[in-house]
Amino acid sequence: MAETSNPDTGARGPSTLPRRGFLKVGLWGTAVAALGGVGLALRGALLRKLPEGSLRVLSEKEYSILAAVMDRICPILGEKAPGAAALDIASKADELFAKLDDEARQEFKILLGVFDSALAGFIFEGRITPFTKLSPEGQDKSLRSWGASRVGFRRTGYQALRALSGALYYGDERMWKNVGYLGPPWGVVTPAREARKDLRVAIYGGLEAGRGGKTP
Amino acid sequence: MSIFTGSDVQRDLLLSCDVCVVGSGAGGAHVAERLASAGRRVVILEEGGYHKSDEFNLNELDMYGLLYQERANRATTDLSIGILQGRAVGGTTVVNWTTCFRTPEPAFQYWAEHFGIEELTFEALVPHWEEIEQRLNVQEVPFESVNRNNRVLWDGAAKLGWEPKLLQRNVKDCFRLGYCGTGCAVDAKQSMLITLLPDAVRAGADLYADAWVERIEASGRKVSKVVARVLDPKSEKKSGATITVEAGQVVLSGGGINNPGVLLRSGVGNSNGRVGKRTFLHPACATSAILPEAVEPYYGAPQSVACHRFARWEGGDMGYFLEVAPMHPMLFGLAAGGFGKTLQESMEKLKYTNATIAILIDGFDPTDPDEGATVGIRRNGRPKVDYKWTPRFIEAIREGTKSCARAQLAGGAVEVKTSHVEPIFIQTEADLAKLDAADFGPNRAKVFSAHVMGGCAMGKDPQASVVDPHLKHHEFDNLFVIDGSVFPTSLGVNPQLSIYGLASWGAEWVRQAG
Repeated sequence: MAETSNPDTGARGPSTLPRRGFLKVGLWGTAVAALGGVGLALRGALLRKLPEGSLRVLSEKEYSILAAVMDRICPILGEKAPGAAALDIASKADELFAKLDDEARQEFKILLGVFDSALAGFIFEGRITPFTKLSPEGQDKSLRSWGASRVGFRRTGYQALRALSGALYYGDERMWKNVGYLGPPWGVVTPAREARKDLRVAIYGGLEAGRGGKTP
Repeated sequence: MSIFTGSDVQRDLLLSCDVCVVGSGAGGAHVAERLASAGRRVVILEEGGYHKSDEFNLNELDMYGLLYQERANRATTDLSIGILQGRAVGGTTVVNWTTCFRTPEPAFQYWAEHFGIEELTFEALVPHWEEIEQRLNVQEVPFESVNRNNRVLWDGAAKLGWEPKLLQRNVKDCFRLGYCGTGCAVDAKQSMLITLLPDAVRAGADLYADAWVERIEASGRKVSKVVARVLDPKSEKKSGATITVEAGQVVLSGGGINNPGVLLRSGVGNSNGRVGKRTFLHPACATSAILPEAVEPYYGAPQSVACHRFARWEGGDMGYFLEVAPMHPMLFGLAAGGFGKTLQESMEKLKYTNATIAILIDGFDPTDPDEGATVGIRRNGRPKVDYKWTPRFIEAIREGTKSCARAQLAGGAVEVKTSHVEPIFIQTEADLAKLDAADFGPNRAKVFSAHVMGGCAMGKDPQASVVDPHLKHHEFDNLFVIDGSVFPTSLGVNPQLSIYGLASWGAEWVRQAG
């Protein structure tokens, strides 16, 4: 398996990853990934300013692609929707990837590379501009094209990005009030926990009873 | 005797016992409690962490990562079906929505007819169910406790003549907070974590959390060892230490997907190639509906109503049953249709949203011996799941989606929406025809699973199944598989109580063989 460096930064990036089945489905993704070092794929992504603190898993390019996708899935739409960038959910995704197994991480990196690839854009959508350099309308059109594609792996890719973005954005406490969710009922939970202290001691004390400093 | 975590095990351990139980969920906890109470020296190995209720902070982002397999990212290989499966001391019982059903009688009849399972009958499990129902306080939800989310299904199904029923839950002094899926913060849910596992430990069992069973080793017809990698409780990465258990008997109770994973990784017990086959997921499709008044689908008992009007336990069209899903912001943000403005608009209406789900009853197509999913192994040793999308399955998703929408409209919804990339909006009964033209193939609309079954199917024929009708592996004299992974089909009801009954019944076969 030949390795190529990232055409934009020279760093190891999506194009240097194993050309194993892209998300383990579909030959198209593998083929596009395998062509990572030539032709249209050389058109680079629009890079973003990196967040404070270092990224754990994503390269600068991958972070930029993911942030661009998240900006369209969770865009700025007034007071109740500050947008993905305001919450920097791309960094949260990076934290999540650090906790996943290597294989899942690699798959996601390949997905991001293919998502922005001008070559993939040309093959599937007839455009030669990388996703990150499209207008917001163009990016929405591209996302819809992925999601409604007749090609299975593109729909898989869309679902992965869509689910990740929606979960991290709306799962963020800062979005709760914007969607009318008042949060957990701590007014009930806290006194209930207090009232059940003895029960908890009995339950977990029972489980831990034999421990008593004993190391197995 | 006690519970130990990955932090307690700093060096390689060699343990010996009468019975090693792999997994501490509905199956493993029950078997361990029974055998420890019968005087056997029991060691339980659990991959997940030991988390007490005061760690359950009711925050989806934190708890999905803490308490679910693959941090709630478990899914079929093509991501077409998301799989919510627990991973903790107590297994899925820690995070399930507390719904309890006895196994429907037609499922037993099908198993007898197609798989030669004759001793395991509804009647045989009744005494086991009666005992566990008492222990876990399984009771029907009082009608006045049905929240607005469930009431939509109740009202809609009743109006359509579909005979909805109140369901049973395993809770005690429940506050109906609505956060069962992120672990019960007030110890009301009678999960294995707070019931049979403390009982088992009190009876002498040792429980090791953060112990991922890498393999079993066998010689001839005997399994000789179970080898587990110790995980660091914080990072969940392998710490470098191992636990090796030499046991007279071994019981696999890691659930569907994980049990086949252990056998496939070990390279044993799969001479007939049936390990991992016939894995069933009860795939669930859903529609969201807007009601004119507040629903707050995140508060209240998550599930209290079910409708089995369209359930089928035979060939022909695939059947399904209807329930509702509690919807918190993260789950709905993940599952709602569309993106951008469409998604934000849905989210802003969350408070007024009902989510009704159709749970497909897979495994009852007598013409397809490999129906459902197949579990395999990734290069890193972790299991992978591939689900077979047949035209029959896709049509069931379409019909299930229609029934969800119909129930919601009849239940007072002003608008129903699918989870497609471009959601389909339904405002009247006539709009349901739009669903006939819609594509319901893989990754077109969201499909989830919260019920993993099969993969180590029981059956009389050693060539066509993994364990015999007494749950003993066909190829070994001292290896049993006891949990939902032995079901040769799905069930047509939420599986928790079926697994308890089966485990209580199955523990007796282990005892007799030991």
